[in-house]
This record gives sequence, C-alpha cells and structure tokens, in this order.
Amino acid sequence: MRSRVPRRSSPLGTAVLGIALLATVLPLLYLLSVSLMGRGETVSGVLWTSDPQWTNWGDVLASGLPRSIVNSLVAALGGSVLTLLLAVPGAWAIARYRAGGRTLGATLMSPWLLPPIVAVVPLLTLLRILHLNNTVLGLTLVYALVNLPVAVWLLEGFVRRLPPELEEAARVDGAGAMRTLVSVIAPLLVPSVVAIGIIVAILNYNEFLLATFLTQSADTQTFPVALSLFYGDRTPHFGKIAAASFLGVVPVFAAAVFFQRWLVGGLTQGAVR
Amino acid sequence: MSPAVLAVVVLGLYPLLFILAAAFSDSTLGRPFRDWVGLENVETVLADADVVASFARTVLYAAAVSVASVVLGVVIALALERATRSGSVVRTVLLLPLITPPVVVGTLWKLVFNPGGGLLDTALRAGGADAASVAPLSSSAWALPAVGLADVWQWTPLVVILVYAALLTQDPSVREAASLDGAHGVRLFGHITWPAIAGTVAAVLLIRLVIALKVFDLVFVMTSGGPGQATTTTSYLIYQVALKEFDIGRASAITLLFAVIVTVVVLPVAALARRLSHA
Amino acid sequence: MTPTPARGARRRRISAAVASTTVAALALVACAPAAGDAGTGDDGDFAGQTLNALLITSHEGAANWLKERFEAETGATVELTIVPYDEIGSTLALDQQSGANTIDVAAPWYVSIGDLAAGGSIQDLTDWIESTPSLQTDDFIPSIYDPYTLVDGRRYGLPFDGDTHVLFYNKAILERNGITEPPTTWEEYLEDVETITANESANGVYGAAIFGQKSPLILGAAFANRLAGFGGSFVDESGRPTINSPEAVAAAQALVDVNDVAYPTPAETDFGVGNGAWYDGKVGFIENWTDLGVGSETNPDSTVAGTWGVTTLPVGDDNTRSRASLVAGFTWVIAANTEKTELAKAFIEFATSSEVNSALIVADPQTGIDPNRQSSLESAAYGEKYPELQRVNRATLSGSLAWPTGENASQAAQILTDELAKLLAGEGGTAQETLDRVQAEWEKILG
Repeated sequence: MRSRVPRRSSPLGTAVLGIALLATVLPLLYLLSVSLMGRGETVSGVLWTSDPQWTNWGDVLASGLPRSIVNSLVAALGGSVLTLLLAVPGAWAIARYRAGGRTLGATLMSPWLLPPIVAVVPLLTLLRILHLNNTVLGLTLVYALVNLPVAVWLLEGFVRRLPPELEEAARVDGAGAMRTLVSVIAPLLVPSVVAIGIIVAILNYNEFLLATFLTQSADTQTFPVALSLFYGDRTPHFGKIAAASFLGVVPVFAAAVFFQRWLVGGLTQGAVR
Repeated sequence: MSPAVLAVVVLGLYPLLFILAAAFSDSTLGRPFRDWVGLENVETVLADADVVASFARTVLYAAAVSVASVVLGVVIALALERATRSGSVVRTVLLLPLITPPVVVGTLWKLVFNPGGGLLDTALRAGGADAASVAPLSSSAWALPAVGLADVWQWTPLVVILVYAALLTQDPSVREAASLDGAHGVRLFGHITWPAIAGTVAAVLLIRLVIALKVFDLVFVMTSGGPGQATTTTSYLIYQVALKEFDIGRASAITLLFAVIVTVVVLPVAALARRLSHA
Repeated sequence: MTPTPARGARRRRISAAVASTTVAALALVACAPAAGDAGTGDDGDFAGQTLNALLITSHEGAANWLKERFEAETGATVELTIVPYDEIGSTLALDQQSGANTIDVAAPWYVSIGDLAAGGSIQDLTDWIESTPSLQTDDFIPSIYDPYTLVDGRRYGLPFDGDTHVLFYNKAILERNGITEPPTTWEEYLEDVETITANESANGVYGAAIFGQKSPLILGAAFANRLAGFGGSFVDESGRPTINSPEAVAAAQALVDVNDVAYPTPAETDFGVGNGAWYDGKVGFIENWTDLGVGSETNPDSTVAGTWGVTTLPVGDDNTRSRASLVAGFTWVIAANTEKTELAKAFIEFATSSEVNSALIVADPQTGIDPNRQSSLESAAYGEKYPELQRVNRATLSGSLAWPTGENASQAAQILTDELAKLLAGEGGTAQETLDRVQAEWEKILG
C-alpha cells in the first residue's frame, strides 16, 4: 500500500501496544471463560472452569438466538447499503454545489445529535402505514435513515479531497450531473464508501433501543434484543448469557480481519492525492 | 432521485416534528396530542431537580469518556504506527471492542464487576485484598466511572482506527527530513505529526462526544440508572419517562432541552474540527 | 409460524415436559368437582383463527402451557410475543396507538391498567364480565380481584397471576446461626439478618437478599412489603396519597436499615440476581413471590430443595396482623383495537379459569403463576404439594395492600421508586424527607 523507510520500532510503542492488547483481550477471554461455567461457578470466583459446560453453547445455539443474529446481520448490512445509496449523492451535492450551504449540512446532522427514544412513537406509526411494522425490512429502513447524517458528514470530507478537475473534464465532455456522479465520482470513492459502510453497519449491528420496540416477535428480533430477554429469566444463568453474548459477536469477529483492512485502506484514501 | 429525497425528508422530518409538537402538548403513549399546553412541559421539566442533574451528569460523563477515549486512542494509534512490526493481527484484535454490541459490552463488564466472584473481585482477593465489598456498580461514587470504563473500552478502537489512518496519510518524507534534522519525541510530534492529524482528532472527538452524550444501552444493562440517580443519564431518563411513565409530552420536552445542551457542547468542537481540517 | 421464544431450546424441552404434565393436569381437571365448561365453546369453534398474546419473560413457561392447551381445545393458533417485565405496558400502548394492532390479548402489570385504559389501549370489559356467569368472578380472591381489574368503577381485565410476596428463609442457615424461629416482626428480621451477615459474610453468605434494582416491580416491592407490615397504605379510601404517613416512613427506614447488611449488591439486585443467590444457598432470607417455593423444589439450579421454609411477611410497630402485599400481579386485558374480541374473551376466560390456575400453580417445571382464585388456592393438589405455600398465601384472603391503579399510577410508582433508590444511595436525606417529596408529587398527579 505504501513504501516507507524502515524504522526501528520503539520499545515504548511496543509496551503501549502490549498493554492495549491485554486490556482488549482480557475481558473478552473472561467472557469466553464464563460462557463455559456452570451456574454455581459464575458466582464463586473461579476464573477458568475445570468442567466446561458445552451445554451452555448447545442450548443457546438451539434457541432462537442464531435466528436473531441473522436478522441483525440483514438489518445492519441492508441498512448500511441503503444509507450509502443516499449518502453518496447527498455528500457530493453538498460538497460540490454547496447545496443549501453550511446550514443544510448542519441541519442534516442535527437529528443524529438527539436521543432517539421518543422517535420510537412516530417511527412505529410510519412503519405501520408502510405495512412494515414488526419486520426486519422496516427496521432496515429505519437504520438506513438513522445513520444517514453521520454517513453524509463523513463522506463529504472525502468528496472534497477529490480533484475538481476530474469533474470539469467530465462536464466538458458533456456528461450531466448524474453521469458525472455515477461514472466519475463514485468509482473514485469506492474505498472510502466501503470504509464508511463498515462503520455504519457496525453502528446498526450494535443498535438496541429502536430494535426493542420496532421488532418484537421472535421471528424479527435482532441479536441485542434477544440477548436482553435473557435478563428477564427467573434465574438468569450467567454462563448461558455469556455464551449467547459470545455467539453474537462470533460472526462479526470473524469478519474483523477484512474490516480492519478495508477500514484502514478506505480511510487513507486521501493519500491518493 | 428527487422522489427518493422527498421520501427521506418526510421520514426523517416527521419524527422531529412529532417530538416538537409533543413537547408542547399533553401527550401520553396511548394518546399523543390530547391538548396543547404551551410551555407547561418545559416548565415542569426545568423545575425537576433530577432532570437538571441528569443534564449536568451526562455532559460531564460524555466529556470525560470522550477525552479519555481520544487520548488513549491517539496514543495507541501512534504506537501502532511506530511499531512497524505489528501486523494486521494486532490491528484486528484492537478493533474487536468496537464491533461488540453495547448490550454485550454491558454484560461483559457487569460480569467483571460482579462482587460475588467476578474478575475484579477474584483478582483483588488473589492480591490479598479484603474484597468483600468491592461492588463498583452498587457504589454511588464508582458506578458512573465503571460504566464509563466500559464505554471507553468499547469506543477507543474507533479513535485508534481513524487516527491511525490519518497517520498513514502523512507524507513520510517530511517526517524523515524532520528526524534527520534532529527532531525527536515530543518535538517531532508537536511540529510534524500533530498538525497532520489534528483535523481528524477533532472530528473523532466530535463523533465520540455525540455517542457518549446519547449513552443508553450500557446504563440499561449495567445499572438501570442506579444506585440512586448515580448513573441516570439523560437518555435513560427519557426512556423511563416515555416508556415506563407513558408521558410522551414530558419526555419530548426533555429531549428538546437536551438538544439545546448537546448543540452548545458540540458546536465549538464542530467549529474546531472544521477549522483544523481546512487548515 | 412457530412462535419460538428467545430461548427455544430450553423452552422446547419445557414444552415437552409440559405436554406430559398436561396429561396429569387434565386428569386433575377431570376429577375436579364442578369443573364446568371453561367457556371456550365447542371444539373447533375458533379453528383457523390466530390469537396474538403479549406476555412478560417470567411468564414464558405459563405462556407456552396456555398456548398448547388452548390450541388443543379450540383449534385456534396462539402466537406469543415475549417482552421484558417492565416493557409490556408501553409495548401494548405503542402497538395500539400506532395502529399496528398486532396484539389481541396481553397480561400487563395491574398497576398500568388505569394508564392503558386512559390511553385507549385496552377494552372496558365490565358488561361482558357482568353478563357472563361462567367467569365465576365470585371465586377470585376478593383482595386481588378489585385492585387488579377495577378502575373508576369499570373493569378492564381478569386476574392472571396472584403474585403476593411472602418471606422465605433458608433453614440450614438459620440453624447454623442459632435462629430457631422465623421472625414475625421487621425488627426481629433485622436482628437475624445482622447476625447471619456478621457470622458468615466472610464465606459469601448474607442475612438477606434485598430487591434494590430501580424498578417499581423490584425496589417498589421491597418497600411495599414493609409498608404492608407497618400497617400503612399508598393511598387512603378516597384515593388520596398517604405515602408520608408514620407507617410509610417506618417502612422506608426499615428498608434503609437492612440495606447495609444485605447481600452486597442491593442497587443492582433484580429478581434474577436475588433468586440466584437464594437458589445458591447464599442468603438467609428473601422476600419473594410464593412460586419461589415451587422453584426451590423443582428448579434444576436449586441447591435449597428441602431446606427452606416460608412465612407471612413480618409486621412492625403497632401493627400485629400480617398483610399480603400485592407487589407484582398481572391481569389479562384485551387490546382496544383487536378484531378478535370473541376469541380474546374465550382465551382469557380459559386462562383465568379455576381449572387452569389450579394446574398452573403446581405445574413442573414451574410456570411462575400464583393463585388468583379461592378454589385454586384451596385445591387439594396445591395443599398436598405445597402446604406451606398454601398456608402463607391464605394471607391474601384477609385483605391486602395494593398499589393505586388509576391514570398516572405508572408514573406514581416510578416516582416512589426513584426517591427510594436515592434514599438507599444516601442521596435523598431522611426517610421522612424522601416520602414528603413523594407525597407532594403524588398529590399533583393522583386523584
């Protein structure tokens, strides 16, 4: 990706990384450890069980939880794609044509600043009108909107970094705004768009509050919602809660290698210039 | 394109208008807009010491966890960039908390803080401490910092990845030239590195602030806003008023007032981010 | 189509077990005298129709039980939606207000029925109840029936889950600490708790688990138990708040006193954590719903089978008569906009019938349901299996303490809970100051 003069790695830097890695991994390993504990062990100061309870994982796997993970993935990815479809033209228009000036950009950003709790009420009404209440598709649409402001805001910076000469050349060639966007601008933005898409998808996958009230049936629940129900159990089994928690992060952890590569690649796109 | 834009505007605008209208009306969950009441909701809310205290608590919390995340994130990003041998495995592992849903993060730290044999308790006992009463989530003084720790753990990787990407975009030759001139450590950072990443850091601080100001999931899972009011952030309070007390009018009024506060807090940071990134 | 709740695997196993106990229950029903038609009509009446029922997580076992039996009996399909216990009211209100109308029947906390009625989310069932003798409303435990269903002279539901609190004690722990008799007053209780905690906290055993989580159903319950014992009430006969009475202040103070020596996480002790500590044998006392006794015997996680005892809630000060405290309690209601009112009525008639309640309270695995009728409370099977629970549950027959249920009752309960949480955390001044603030707020919104 880049050529740099090799440098000695600093011992301080290595130490910082070591501590950061430890602080990241230790709690996750503890969660994994608890996920294999029997009920009694979770409250007795055991750090690693001598008798792993694989049934915790078996029970969770056989429950509705895997289904909820699929729902979460669909809503997260679908929402992210929709967000990008709207955000790319939006960011381009704002950056290039100063459409609406600064005010529009700021106004677009403002809904993102608000806690979305009360919005549950009108959103549910809107979804009902669209016959999309209690569906994963409905939640996907809501997610697409919720993160639109932040996606536009992030993308705008990348659009600005593109050399304006490219567009002028396209215009001289007689290309309209739409064609310029699709055939000149969008291809150049692909790495950044992927990176921002990942960030938005992560925000979607993590979302809990809206999903709680917009998807309630067992068929449409997302992972955080299904997980939260474990707490209402008459005797919560921390081993199973931990197993369920871990199960929900396995698919995203598996994809993390690609995430980081694309994130770093896309976000450094400005260097192209 | 324009019908799609229109649809988006309607879908985006309607919830905002709803909140605005509800804030000035007698609205319950079952029956919104029963009556226009003018400023009554706003006055009730402003006279409620718990609401006002939640504003202050939330702003302080957000400022503290944002600064902590950004400082830690920048340090780790610098270390990542310096440690040339660190490969994609290290970067991937550092990213994991970010892709862990807050409900899981809350669960995880609740287990760590569990006074009856959690990780913290067990470690302290192993260290010989009398840990019989180490229960951060039940302590008025420690509950909010404990939630904050989980928050910092979760979101610092976002700072790391964004700042790291910014570090990669700086021209290596400038840096090489500077270090040949004898610039090291703090001076190198102050003169060369910082100007290159300042815009990104300010933008990340902005994102981080907004996310922290809206914190809900962690509080919901870890403490339910207790003990007392110690961890009742404004988002949790709005949830309680709207969905447990059925009072949409008051919840909307709190949301609106909080919007004003968020704007006041965020605007200077946004201006800073704009100035630095255009410098 | 399969309404698999969140934890299907375990639930499916439970369903299988339910199926087998159903046979036993059926036999029971068949033998029961005067086990008349539960009013569900002839078989197949509702074949092809689907009913959507909304319940809380802790009723999931009962929900599956009802689903199977009702489907078998009527040919209807029952779809279940399970939500956390403090979200059921708002979920129902949102569903009806938005026009989604996906819910036909629900079993919310009884305190919310006034708000649900005022919000137009549930149906007024007065006329149907009065004109339907097969509901046998005389049989409902009187001190439960009115608080659970009546708002301003109209009835909005039928009681489902009785849900009073009683005091459970771990006999082994009490014996180890030289306590021979369970306490009868809150003062004795505090002494016993202090003794146990002083002796055994080093080993992780404490005198009591206190429900301290900031939720009306949890912390609110812990307070209500003491309020009942000291002879106080939330509101007087005319509905005027009396929450800063000397009795109420004494109750709040009793809660503060025990808080310091209780299982060390009161502020985050929801009922799961509390129950867990009880099943693990780590606490001497716990106030809980009567069905904890069923769980203590049948829950695979329980280590206290055979070593527990139960008694009525202690009393305090001048009051000498133990009173039941209707802390939780759930009521079947019919959604305002359902198009399946007849099916919904058939379902709640079935679900609240004496036969079903009698079977649910002894079902294994436990369903979390407590007696709602005199006939089920006095049923032979209950008395045979859980004689002690039957004895303490009879306390509900002689009057009990109930929360207010009118409009704004949900908010009132939340205000009290918030102030109590502050008191326990040392943020609220004295018990008197705390309850004076609640009284002032309540006077604004109740009545």
